[in-house]
Amino acid sequence: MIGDAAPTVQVVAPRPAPVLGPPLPQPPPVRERSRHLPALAAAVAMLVLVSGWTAYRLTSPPGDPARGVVAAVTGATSAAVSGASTLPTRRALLAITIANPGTDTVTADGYAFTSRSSGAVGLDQPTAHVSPGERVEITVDVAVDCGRAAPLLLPDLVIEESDGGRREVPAVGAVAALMDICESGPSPGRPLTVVGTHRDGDTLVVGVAAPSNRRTVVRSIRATGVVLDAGALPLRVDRRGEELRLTPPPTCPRAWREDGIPQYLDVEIDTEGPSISRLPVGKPLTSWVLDVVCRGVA
Amino acid sequence: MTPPIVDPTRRGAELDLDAPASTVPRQRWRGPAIAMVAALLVGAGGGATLRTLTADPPPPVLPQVELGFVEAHLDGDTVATLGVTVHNAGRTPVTVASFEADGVHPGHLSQPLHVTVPSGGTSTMRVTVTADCRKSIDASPLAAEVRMTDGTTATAVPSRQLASAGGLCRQVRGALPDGWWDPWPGVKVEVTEAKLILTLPPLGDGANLSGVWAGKTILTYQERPELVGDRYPPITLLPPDVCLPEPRLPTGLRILVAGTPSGLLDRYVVVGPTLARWLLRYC
Repeated sequence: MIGDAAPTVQVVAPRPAPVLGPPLPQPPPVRERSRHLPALAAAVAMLVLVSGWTAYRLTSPPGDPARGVVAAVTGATSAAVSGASTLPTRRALLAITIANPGTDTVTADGYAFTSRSSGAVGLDQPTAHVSPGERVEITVDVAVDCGRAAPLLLPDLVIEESDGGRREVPAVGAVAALMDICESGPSPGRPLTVVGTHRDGDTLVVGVAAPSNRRTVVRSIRATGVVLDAGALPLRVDRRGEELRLTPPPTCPRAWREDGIPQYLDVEIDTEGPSISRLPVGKPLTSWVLDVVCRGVA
Repeated sequence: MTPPIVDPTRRGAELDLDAPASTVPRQRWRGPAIAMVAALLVGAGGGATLRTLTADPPPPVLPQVELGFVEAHLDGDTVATLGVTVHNAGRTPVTVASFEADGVHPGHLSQPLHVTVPSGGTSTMRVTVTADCRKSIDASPLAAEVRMTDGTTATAVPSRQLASAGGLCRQVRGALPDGWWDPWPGVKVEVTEAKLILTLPPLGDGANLSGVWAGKTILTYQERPELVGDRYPPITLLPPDVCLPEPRLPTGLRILVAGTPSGLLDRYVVVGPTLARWLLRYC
């Protein structure tokens, strides 16, 4: 519909554009605006409060649904790689138990990326759903190159929480399990080996070496549950070998008298994680115990 | 009525002759609408900010704990050593105050540790316990946890060997010499030169000797022992011709007695280092 006046196009450059037409509507009288102002202010205040309270409630910090989730290596079976029984390469099945003490289901979803070198290679991808309060055991296939100097590590497991969060959880006891596997293999892959023994008075000197040249720290030494004094510990051992100087206990321990004279030393070592190496010392150790420690004991 | 005029130099501008000229109602509510939106944004922002400022810090990461069997031996009683491995993935060191367990022996076991595990570190603690495994296989399940100095607790996941009911006693029995649960105090053992002479107390009606073991190795008789009444004359045993490939050189003998009212009896005699010296002499 065209108005009573002919349309006029007026070009004004650049801006603002002129507006032609009827006079702009006048604002309502001041008295009318002030009449709505309290209601408007009240509505605004109420809105501020309601939206603030809602935001306060909704933005509660994220919880920790996977708090207390534990992954631990609880079992291991191993065998020599086919056709390589004399090589320090082992194939193992590790049983990993994932315990979820929380209130939400979590999911194990493979391994986390790691740039750390490890003697454990050829891993498969574990997956499992663990309901609240439950334990699930998964089995992973691992190839272990026991002769490598790299520590025997398992990558962390990725645990996915119910709210989508992801967390990396290490498998506790993996180092000890992998070291046990290597210890059951041929000598070049064992964590520690005995390279010699001799007596120095009442002291038994046991030479030990780490054939793989893996960084190995000896923390303590026991024999049939009895802690032995081995001089200054911790002691770092590498391929060249070190000497453990065992001083005799003051008396013949009851455990040795009743249960047997030790032929092995239980050496607690640390290679990026704690483990126990059972060192077969044999006759030099039993002779030392019978001649020195339990001398005169029937 | 004059139609609205817009800047025709703008791209896509056109003259809409049908558009109403007046916008009075919209302009009237523009202010309150803006105020409402602003109130919404201010309120939401304020609430979220307040929540962030007043929120408690997130709970610290709980340490991961694994429980394993290390060894067992006779020490007047049956003593087992357990290994408690604690990994601390948190940002601050944690101090393990104590180890708590049920199912090791009757009642609750609480053993103080007081070991600090550094951030990102793993430590293994040895816990020596007296395991009550003499009567029979104890089928009570093992439940263990560690308690931190701040009062929090972390469940210890037992190894597969320990997890099943009676697992601890199975491990203990496997590690100890056979017959340990039935000691035979009346047996006399003498070592003379190369021979070991065994004198047994009366066996009772119908009972007879089935064999004598040192560790897992059966010992041979110099002469086949013959019963005289209900007892044997002193029995002479010969040493094994190989070194015993066992973790411990035996200091006790396992004696198997058959034909008793209870059937086959597996008994243990503590001899002491004398037996080990006798066994070692021929290694």
